[in-house]
Amino acid sequence: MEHTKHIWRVGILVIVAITGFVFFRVLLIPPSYGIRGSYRYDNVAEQMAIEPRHGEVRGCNECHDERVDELRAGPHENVACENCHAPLSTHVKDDEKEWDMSVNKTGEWCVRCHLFLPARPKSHPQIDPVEHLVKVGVKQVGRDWSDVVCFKCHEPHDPTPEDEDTVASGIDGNAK
Amino acid sequence: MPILVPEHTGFLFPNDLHVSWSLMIVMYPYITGLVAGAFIVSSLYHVFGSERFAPVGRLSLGASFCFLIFATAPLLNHLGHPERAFNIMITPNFRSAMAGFGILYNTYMLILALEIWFVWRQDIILIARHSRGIKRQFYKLLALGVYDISAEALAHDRKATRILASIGIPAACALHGYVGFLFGALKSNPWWSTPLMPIVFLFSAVVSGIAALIIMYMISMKITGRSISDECVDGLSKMLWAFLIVTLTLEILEIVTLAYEAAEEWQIISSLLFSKLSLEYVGLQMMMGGFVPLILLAIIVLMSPTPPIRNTLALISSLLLLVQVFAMRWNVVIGGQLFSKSLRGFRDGYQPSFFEREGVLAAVLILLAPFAATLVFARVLPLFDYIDKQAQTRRPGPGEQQVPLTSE
Repeated sequence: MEHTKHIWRVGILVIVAITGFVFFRVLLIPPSYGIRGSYRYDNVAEQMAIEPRHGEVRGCNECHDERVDELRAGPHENVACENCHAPLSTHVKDDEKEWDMSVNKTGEWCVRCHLFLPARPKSHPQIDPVEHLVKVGVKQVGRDWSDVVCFKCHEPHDPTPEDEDTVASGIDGNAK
Repeated sequence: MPILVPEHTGFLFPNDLHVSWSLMIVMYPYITGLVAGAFIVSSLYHVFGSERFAPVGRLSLGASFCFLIFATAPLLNHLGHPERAFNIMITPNFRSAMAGFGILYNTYMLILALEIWFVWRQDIILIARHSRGIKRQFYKLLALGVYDISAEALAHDRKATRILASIGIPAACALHGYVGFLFGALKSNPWWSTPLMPIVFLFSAVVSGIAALIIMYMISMKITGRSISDECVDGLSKMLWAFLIVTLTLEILEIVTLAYEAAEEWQIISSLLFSKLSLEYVGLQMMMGGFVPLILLAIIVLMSPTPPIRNTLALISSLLLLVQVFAMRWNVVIGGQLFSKSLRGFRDGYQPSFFEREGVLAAVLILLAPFAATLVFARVLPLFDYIDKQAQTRRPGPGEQQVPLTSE
């Protein structure tokens, strides 16, 4: 057909673009993709090869059994050490203490579990942080509440405070 | 420390507290919808030969293309890892509703780009012939090096345009219906999960597209000092009215069905629409954005007012309809996340802040981007009568046959 040169050219361009996409797509698909599903199967082996960073409570027990027993006797019995402390691998190397253990003491960390949420069971102690701090007599409740303020009344290994009055007002958030 | 618990009433699950699909997910169907609407108008001219739409034939294609380029921008801005977006094209997992998006989007983009090329080919060649240096090389490249604008070649172009536009109509419908499907196929949410959703999305998309086109057409005529084509605005208004009737009917039918069935979800949906979203739904989507333009457009269609009044009414209706469709997207996307999956509680509203990544400013910029792109587009490929002007100034070269220089 005459006068169709431009159509041929654009047609070839489209074919080149589509072929190019198909070609590059083949190059871009990871080799192990799709062996067991829509994911890169090699990734499973890669994940398995990663050294575990956490040691679970057994890792702590060997040196800190008193602290672990103390924790087990209180309401935080189901909270793993490494939830607030750093992973074991940042503290121990080849079964020997290598570095100091760090710990997250911020109120922000505490309210990850103890912030009042409508969906949490009523039996679980929950607070509205500001309201709670006002109730227990903290005068200035500003941005600083998230520092180590919770630790002033609660010892995290055995968090029930000694002062019964504080306890009563402290868990008032449950009433909601 | 900001307040950590969002305001709420009733019973919510923990994961109901957050509106994860932000303002950006409202923008996504909105901009995609403008594509579909503008394209339908261009098809009426290119496929069905409605001469009254000739003045917006090119504008609608150009605008559609520019909207399409930015249709994914809100999604990419929403993603934490936008570079991973390409994975749905490289390794699509068809168990995910989103997997088809890459295929539909790119197919439609290809059809639209080809159609634009065929429609503007004659202009490209004429510009190439009348320019020098880099500009000439650029247009020569755009013309793929073929300068054939003989009557036969142009006839082939018209045929190709018609074929592409007719493939483009189902492609545009599929692209936008698909966006509705993304919501309609989410069975966990009773406000979204309805087979009607793709159709409602599609029709409101066409409404917003035509409305945007009317506004863009009037503004560009005003800026360039051209006169507004009465026939064109009249035709667009009539079409807008027709599509608006269908859209409103579908939107109301959906609610009427839900209300009459009065299944367990109706209690929460009714309080969502009529108390939580009373301004957005009843006020903006139904009254101000729905019924007011319906009446204004009815005046145009039934009473044939004088051109200045008709143009003003069409412009006001179009602006209101852009708000209506935006409100509809907002009420679907955000509304669907305001109530708990327990159907027993509400999160207390969602207000995007101005400067945040997915905030109001980002949304405004993303919405303005396609309009700016259309301006750039118009600089490269003239949206209006380039050929007519050339016809007045250009003489045929030696050995060159004078060809009828009609548009397309």
